[in-house]
Amino acid sequence: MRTKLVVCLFAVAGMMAAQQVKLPASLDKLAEKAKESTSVTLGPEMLSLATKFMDSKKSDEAEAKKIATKLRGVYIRSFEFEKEGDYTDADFSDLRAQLKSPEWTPIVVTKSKKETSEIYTHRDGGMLILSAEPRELTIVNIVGNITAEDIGGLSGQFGVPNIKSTHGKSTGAAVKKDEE
Amino acid sequence: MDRFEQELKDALKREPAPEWLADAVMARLGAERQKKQKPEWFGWARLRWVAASMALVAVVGGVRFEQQREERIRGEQAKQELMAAFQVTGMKLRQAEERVLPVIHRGQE
Repeated sequence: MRTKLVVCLFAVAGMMAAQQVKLPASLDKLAEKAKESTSVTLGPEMLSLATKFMDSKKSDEAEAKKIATKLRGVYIRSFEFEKEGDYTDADFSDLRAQLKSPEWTPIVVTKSKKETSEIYTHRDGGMLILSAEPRELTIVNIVGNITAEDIGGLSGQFGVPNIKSTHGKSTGAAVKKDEE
Repeated sequence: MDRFEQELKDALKREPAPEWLADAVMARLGAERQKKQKPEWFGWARLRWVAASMALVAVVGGVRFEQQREERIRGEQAKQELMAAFQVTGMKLRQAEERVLPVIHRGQE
């Protein structure tokens, strides 16, 4: 019984670790080049602490708290640059390589000449958003048992669109848009 | 022997102590001993213990208060970061949605 419990704990820890992508070291160098950079690193301990201070009586905090309790980590790197070309695809090629693993499924991939938006979900429930614009690069990695519907639950609270109603019944198929 | 001498002799004449004196002295000694044996809880020792205890309570209380204050600051900071993270996530999802929606609508037509 005890062995099973330990095995289960390791399995859960392994699943959560898999959902967390390894943010390339090159991103830290980008922070030096960037005009503005935002870095959010919230591990399990900080998330649990944050939820303790969320007021269940406030509607926005209550909804966020509900979702936050399902999370094991939130990692964001966002950079705003002075001019175009301050970063290249090579800066996050390591990240892309990790996303090629079968555990990650692209649910939305939009590419135009200058902009890219990619949303991936992990087999075990995590999520990764990669948004690349000429002067802006944002990577969001959410670790935990969170689904698109959960994010949809924040609809209207943090500028989050209701993914479920927008995309109809999700089939898990990626919506791709490629433009010149 | 004149009168003065007689008076002096009478005054210095040894007289046995009254019977009650021994008991009274012993009783007084006993009371003194008891007074000394009384725990010093009513004295300086007790005061020292009380002061030490109060100081300990103050130190422990102060440390606990400081820990709670630090935890509250860290918690509030984490909460703000989480809210900001949700905002960034929401914004990026919205951008993706805005780019994808026209494609979906075209497909439905």
